[in-house]
Amino acid sequence: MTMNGLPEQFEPLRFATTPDKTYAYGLLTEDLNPIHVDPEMAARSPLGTTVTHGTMAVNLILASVRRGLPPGWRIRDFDIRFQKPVPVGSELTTEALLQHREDGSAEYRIAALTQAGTTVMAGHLTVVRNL
Amino acid sequence: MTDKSRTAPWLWADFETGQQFHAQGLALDAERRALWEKVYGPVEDGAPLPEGMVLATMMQGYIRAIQPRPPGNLHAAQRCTFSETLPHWGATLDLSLTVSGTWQKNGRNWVTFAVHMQNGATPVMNGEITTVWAR
Repeated sequence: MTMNGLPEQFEPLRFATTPDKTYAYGLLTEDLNPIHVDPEMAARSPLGTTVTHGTMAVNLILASVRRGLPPGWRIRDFDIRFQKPVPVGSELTTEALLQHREDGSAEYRIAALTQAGTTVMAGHLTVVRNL
Repeated sequence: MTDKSRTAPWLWADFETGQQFHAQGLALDAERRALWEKVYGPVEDGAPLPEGMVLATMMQGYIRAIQPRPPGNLHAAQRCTFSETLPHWGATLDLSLTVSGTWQKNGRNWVTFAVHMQNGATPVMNGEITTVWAR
């Protein structure tokens, strides 16, 4: 824990992706692209299997940070790159490690990894103290 | 410029810097809350809207605003800046997209959209979506 109450690392969240959750997220975002929800079509694609929507993993990181933020702080921004597709059925784990802090703000390096340790997305996230 | 009668897929060559698209009436209603909870688990009554729900709504608007689209697009990168005050469940959001750049690299077609979403007159988030457009 840092002097301002921010953790050096936010508690990781683990999340099992499933066809049902992926379909529900597709309904939520109106993105029912067959690569996400149609195993037969996805099997014929270059990826060979259905993959989750990229922002499903981002939302986990946002949830992990929100859960661990001290009162009076909020998430201001993030900037990420999607690095690998996430096959439906993968288990994801989040990472958020403190990189830099100033009075009233802090930057974390964020990532989501599969159970095999493959980084599927990575970037940075900033939290700030509410005015 | 969201043409709801369009039948031909939007191709990379159709995008021009400065071109705008819109999606209105993105409701944070009970149906969408139930979908969120099916994916991520229960949300406490009275709890602030999860930032991820703002992001999911951004994606909903992005998908809705540009239709039809070719299969095979890849979501490559995302930036997002949240406003200090997020909306509550029950709000209805509007989204605008502006093509901020198109380029080709390594035989792939890239396009970046600047995104702005608001709740009435109140800004909710600004961001950027970078996509490898399939065709």
